[in-house]
Amino acid sequence: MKEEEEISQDLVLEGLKKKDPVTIDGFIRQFSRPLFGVILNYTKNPADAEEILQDTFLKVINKIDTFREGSPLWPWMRRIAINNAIMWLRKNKPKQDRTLNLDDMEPVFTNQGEFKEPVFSWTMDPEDVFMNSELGSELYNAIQSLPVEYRLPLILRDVEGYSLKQISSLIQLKEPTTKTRIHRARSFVRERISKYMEGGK
Amino acid sequence: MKNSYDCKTCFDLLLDYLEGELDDDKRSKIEEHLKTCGPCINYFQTYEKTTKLLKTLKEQEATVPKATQERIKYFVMREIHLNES
Repeated sequence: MKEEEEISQDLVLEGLKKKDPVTIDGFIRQFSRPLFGVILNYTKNPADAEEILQDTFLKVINKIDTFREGSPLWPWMRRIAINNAIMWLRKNKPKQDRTLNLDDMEPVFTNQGEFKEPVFSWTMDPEDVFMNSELGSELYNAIQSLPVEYRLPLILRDVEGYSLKQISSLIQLKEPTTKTRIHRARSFVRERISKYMEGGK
Repeated sequence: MKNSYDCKTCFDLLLDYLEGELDDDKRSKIEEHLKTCGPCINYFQTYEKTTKLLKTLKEQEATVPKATQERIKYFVMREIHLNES
């Protein structure tokens, strides 16, 4: 079967419920790439992403009886992939995450509570990211260089659009801590991309 | 009592401000400060643009090599058989 070939959802569901090897084979071929793309937002390490991907397929197949028939399969699978990435990253925190000091990325204030350094406006707009692949990579790298405890709440809030309450429950944090982490992570990303956004490089 | 905050307090309350979670008193003190503070206006605008930029982050374009797909298939089938036996 061609990778791009779409198979009827009902047939897929039926085959997955029966644990039919041919269906599972086609299913993995069809959804490996899009699921991998989702998971790579959570970790840029391909080996980690592959492990999360295989666990995701296993969970999807094992939970297929709980899938509400008639609803679209992709958003359901996507949620499973995201939850799986969260669980995996919480259990296997990458070591290099510990080297980054987020304090250096927050603005510095005087004793009078004023900004110590000048704050420049940006000449570029968020829409311009589509025109500038260098900025796109910088954005992705900035997110990926965040320690996982900051990266997860940031992606869940700003990329996925989850509520603060949902995020706190998913990553088991109190809401004020979730907010502080998102705030610091945004400040960090803002600082990292400033040089591109200020000058329209 | 002052009717406006300093930059540091505005920065600390920025997320709550954008989430609409501040009471009227705190919100108006921030807005009062923003009327006259250039650095804060720039910081608020660029911070908000950062959140908008993050929303544009799409799923990553990545190919999954055939060998990887085979490994995944092998893993999944093995786990299924282990569960069933």
